[in-house]
Amino acid sequence: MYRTIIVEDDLMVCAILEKQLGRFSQLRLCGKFRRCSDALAYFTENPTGAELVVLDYFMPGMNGIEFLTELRKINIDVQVIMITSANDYSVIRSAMCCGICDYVLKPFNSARLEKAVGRFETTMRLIKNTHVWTQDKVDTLLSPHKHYNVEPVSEGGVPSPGKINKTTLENVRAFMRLNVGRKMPLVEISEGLELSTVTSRRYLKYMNSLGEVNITLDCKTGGRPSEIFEYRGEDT
Amino acid sequence: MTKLEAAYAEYGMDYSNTIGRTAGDEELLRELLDMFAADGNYALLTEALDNDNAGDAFSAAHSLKGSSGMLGMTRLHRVLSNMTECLRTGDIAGAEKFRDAAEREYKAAVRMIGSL
Repeated sequence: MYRTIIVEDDLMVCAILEKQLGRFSQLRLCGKFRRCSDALAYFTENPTGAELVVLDYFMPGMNGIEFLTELRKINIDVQVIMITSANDYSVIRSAMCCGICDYVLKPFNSARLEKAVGRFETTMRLIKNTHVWTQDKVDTLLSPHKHYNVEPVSEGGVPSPGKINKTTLENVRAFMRLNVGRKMPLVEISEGLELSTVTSRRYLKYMNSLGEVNITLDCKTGGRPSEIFEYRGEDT
Repeated sequence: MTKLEAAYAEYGMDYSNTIGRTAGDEELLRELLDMFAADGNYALLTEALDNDNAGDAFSAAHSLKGSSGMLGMTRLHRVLSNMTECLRTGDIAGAEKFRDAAEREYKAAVRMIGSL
């Protein structure tokens, strides 16, 4: 679970972000701040207090870029997704200089936010699992969006076959085959596959549509219900 | 079609993307619309324009632009985007050109909310 903080002064937008981020089981909202100065105080007290910040730009007092600059000065290595209506290049360039993970313009849609979260996850996984930084790894770090499928899913949430990469599907299938009969949460599968949860889920949903994978809900998590995946085999 | 969806259609607003933003939660969307209607930024915008205060007008217009866009008020969002671009450079006269349209679209949005 990645601890996530929202820094947004507009209560309406904040409510929407909270609802949207709640869709991602891999994220856990651990704070909401309406002013950057309060968020900065939080990180000063808790330098490792979150893995992800969802940040607006235009806020009273310190703006999003000034906040980011201060964060980097004190070596807070948190990932940042900017969600803002600031559409001028100077702000975008400054945000890039501060090492943002993604920049999403308002009004965003759910699919674009999903891409941003996928990008964040890919980055986190890479940082966590990479000990030797090869050129491929560096390329992935610089363009994480190129390393997962960002095509929209078809109706009913089942990806169309055209959006499924054959090699990736075989990798997912091979992993699930090794764990036949086991009921596994998404996080465990995505870690085993070294794929983002967004991508893993896409392939599992596809396999579910083929009757290869059962999906049930675990409501006893103590929090949000979690999807459980079980491989049934290809001939069932 | 729900009453909310019908109201969005009647006023030419974007229901589909907006309900997607609230993950299908109409109750939340209604709450957000009520918050929009009660928000003081439109009054601040007109006051700042009356006083030739480009900085305050920019802040209010920018804020309204964000919330109107998120709530699918397509036409209001477009007008406020144009106004914000003028105000960013301190061009009050340029912003004034969009004032009537902003007022018309803002009132239409509030009327839509009142009709629910």
